[in-house]
Amino acid sequence: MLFIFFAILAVFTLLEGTVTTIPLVFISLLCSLIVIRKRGVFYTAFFAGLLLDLLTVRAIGSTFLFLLLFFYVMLLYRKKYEIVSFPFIIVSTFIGGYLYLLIFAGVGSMALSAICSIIAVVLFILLSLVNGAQKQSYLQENNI
Amino acid sequence: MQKKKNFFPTFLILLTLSILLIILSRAGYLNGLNSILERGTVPLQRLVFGVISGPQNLSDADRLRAENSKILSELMKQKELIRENQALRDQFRTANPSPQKLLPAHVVGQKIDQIIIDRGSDDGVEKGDIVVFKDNLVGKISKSSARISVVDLPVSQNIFLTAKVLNSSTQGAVKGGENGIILDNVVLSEKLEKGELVVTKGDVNEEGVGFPPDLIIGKIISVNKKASNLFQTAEVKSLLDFSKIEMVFVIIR
Repeated sequence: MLFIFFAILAVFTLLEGTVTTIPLVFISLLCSLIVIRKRGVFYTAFFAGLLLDLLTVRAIGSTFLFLLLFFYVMLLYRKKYEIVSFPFIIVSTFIGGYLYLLIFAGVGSMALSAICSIIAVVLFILLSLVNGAQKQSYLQENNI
Repeated sequence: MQKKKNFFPTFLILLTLSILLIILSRAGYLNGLNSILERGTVPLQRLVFGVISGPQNLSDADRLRAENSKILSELMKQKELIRENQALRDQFRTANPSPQKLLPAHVVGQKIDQIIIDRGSDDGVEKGDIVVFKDNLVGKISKSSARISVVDLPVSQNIFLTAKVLNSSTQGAVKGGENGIILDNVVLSEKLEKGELVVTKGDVNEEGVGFPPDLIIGKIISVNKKASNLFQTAEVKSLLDFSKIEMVFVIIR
């Protein structure tokens, strides 16, 4: 699971740093945070953010600051809403993607934000499947 | 997250750390570290960009596939050298801008309205420097770190410059945006025609910052003239295909 997460994150970081304005790193970290539910995602976000800042000539730390604040606010809502759900993924990536583009690309784009939501849904399904399969195999191996 | 109650102190530490990094970065204290890290990231970025933009150059791939991999590799290297050499020769033959001020740079990344080049402040590139290819305007440096810089293309909404139509007295302002490059603020009495070339008027200040004159921005592809409007506008298309450009030249101050 972690290998897939890091592989996706590495590819997305390089793609975002080189050829696209779509916030792929934000999407992958958001989906991972919801599926994996570990604090380590924040530390990973720190390093991914630094690399992205280097590749895109942003002030070092600015991407991580955005990710940190957005994810923290998002997690505050987990008591009110079911965050492991498609509606939450769609809405949060749309709003987050729009804000991200507005801050870092200088212009908010509805179309790109919608693409963010679509990518997030696909990634969420993929990560959930891998995570589910891993849990299933763990239960079988331990005869639980 | 597993220990939900304990996350707030961690959040505060991470928040402070990121704000501290931003302040240090803005103040320029991290330039040395940037320079070291970019030694590793720039080649990686160039490699990724090469792999992604590679399929555009594969029109002869079928013919070349039969040859063995070693010869193919050598051939590709040679072709790249010839292309670079040709680009350099063409650029340095161009009278405008003056060749002494030009710094060749490779494109290592590309976004919708920006390109990333492998030259930065270590090479003398500064924010506001103009980027050209032959006598065509490629854009303006919007951000620069130690080893890489971001160039805003003419289609970027950050671009705004005075321009004129070649071989006429017609003047206007060129600006980028979602609709591409627009020549605006042209008085209705002036005549704009499809196919006419639009060039920079030149607005270099005493410090050498600004667009030099007579760089080709593009050609007019449509004119929007309404009697009810104060000004007429025209849509301009660059002569360059920015998605295929591999090498550019920065005009150093």
